Amino acid sequence: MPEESQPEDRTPSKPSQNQTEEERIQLALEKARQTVKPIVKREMAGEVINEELLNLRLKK
Amino acid sequence: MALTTSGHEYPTQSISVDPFPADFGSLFPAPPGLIENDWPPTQITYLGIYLGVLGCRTIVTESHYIDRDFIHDAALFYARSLRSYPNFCQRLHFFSAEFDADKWRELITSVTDRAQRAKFLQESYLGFCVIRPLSGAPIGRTVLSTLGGINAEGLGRAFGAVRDYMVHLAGFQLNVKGLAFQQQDQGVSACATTALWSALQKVSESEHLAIPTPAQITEGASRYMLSDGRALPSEGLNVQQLCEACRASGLEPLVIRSVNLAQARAQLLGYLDSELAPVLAIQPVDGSDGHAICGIGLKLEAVVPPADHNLNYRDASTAVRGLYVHDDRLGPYAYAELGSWTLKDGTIGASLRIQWPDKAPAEDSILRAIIVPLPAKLRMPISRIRYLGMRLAEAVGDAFSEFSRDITFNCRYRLGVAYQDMAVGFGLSSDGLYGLNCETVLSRYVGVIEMRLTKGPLFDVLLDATETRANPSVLAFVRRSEFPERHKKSFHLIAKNCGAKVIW
Repeated sequence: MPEESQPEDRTPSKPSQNQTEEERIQLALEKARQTVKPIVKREMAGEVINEELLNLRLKK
Repeated sequence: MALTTSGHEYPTQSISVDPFPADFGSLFPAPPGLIENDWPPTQITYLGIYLGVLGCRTIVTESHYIDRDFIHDAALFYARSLRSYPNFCQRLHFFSAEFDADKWRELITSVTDRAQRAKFLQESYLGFCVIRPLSGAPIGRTVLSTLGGINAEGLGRAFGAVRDYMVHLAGFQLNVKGLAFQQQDQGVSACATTALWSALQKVSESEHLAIPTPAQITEGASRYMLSDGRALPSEGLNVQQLCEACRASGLEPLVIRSVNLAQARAQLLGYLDSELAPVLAIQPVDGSDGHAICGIGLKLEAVVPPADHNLNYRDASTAVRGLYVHDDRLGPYAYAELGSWTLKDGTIGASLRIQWPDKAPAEDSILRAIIVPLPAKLRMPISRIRYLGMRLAEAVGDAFSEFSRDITFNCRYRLGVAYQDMAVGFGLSSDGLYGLNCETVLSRYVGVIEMRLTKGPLFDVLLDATETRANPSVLAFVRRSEFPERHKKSFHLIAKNCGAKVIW
């Protein structure tokens, strides 16, 4: 069984005192990657083509 | 005894001018013998309605017109029939201006102000329709103007996949912007043939490829693969054969399986906004035979804010409400409303609802696949561009509170040179414009992720479309008018993280 994941951090990427602008941008990009992953996964499912679809006859 | 000879004479032609009739179907006499379906066919009824909406007042008819598509069909199929099918067609030209035969004669014969007369004809020209000598399927190559940019509900119409057609009529050169449509004849072509034929009209021209005729498409589709017996008469194509025909015409078919409404909207916007017409494989909800139509344009409403309150961006594809299609059972630019439909396995798929002029209720079909004929060097699919677009939009919306939940991303392709030309109006610095046009090597087609706010464009991300993955294929980040000067450093940092140069 895969380990249960921690709930995603959804707090805005605001600069903390010790955080540089570069770190803030990197953090936002990484957080965004996690956030959009499930949406992207659904869309990418369209890239998987099966035999049934290729043989679908269009004749109406 | 003397044998009779024929065929030595050159043809003559006449041009007639008639007012647009209240009943367009009355121009088409019913063929002799028993009629299988209603007369006139739905396509003629639809054309009459559509021309009425365009404001057609006058029809000019050429009695002898050699049509490239029909003459190929005739050579491949009809010339070998017992019946003597002619190799020529008639052609109807439609005008919004009202004029009669006398006025027409004056337009042609007057030797002064020719430019003015050409302007008169051009300004009211709505397009043409080739009438084939096939009694059951008379509607041949037809190019009509599209409807205006805003519909009666105030929603936008965007016809991405149209092009200019040059028309010669009685010594005048006229122009109509649209996309060619024709009815399947069930001899040489079925729905899939005509849908692909329409889809290839623009991309083949822009790629400097010959546009295949329906006969050439059917031959290309059945050269290596005959899944259902004989190629002619055509009994339809399957998706694989459509792909074969696409390859035979010099383009690469991208097949996208339809997953759900959101994905369908995103794909349709991406390709149609890139001026690439897709073939849509649909199947009626009753599970009967599949059908193919060609997407030409989109009906757009306002972009919808994200339903998930944790997301910081908007997706431009949420504005897509429906599309305009060439459906050869109906006619050009028929409206198809996008929706959702619960499939047999319980999942919810994308559907299309097509309204018929002479049939109720509207027909619901499942969208099964989107097939896009692509130039060979356009390798990166829209779905992968969207992946990066979504991620960047979310990151920027998250990192800059002033952009949060307003930043909207949109993905499309553009010719590199067209983008450079457009960029002149972006308000870039002199160094930025020089850098983009002279110091940045772009692929023939670039993937463009446009980020914008409600008030205007924020920045563009340019991708090398010859690659297969969006990251690391980012060429440049291009600043647009609404990106604030104070965030210049952050802009550079985002670009640096994507391995891209900055055009500021």
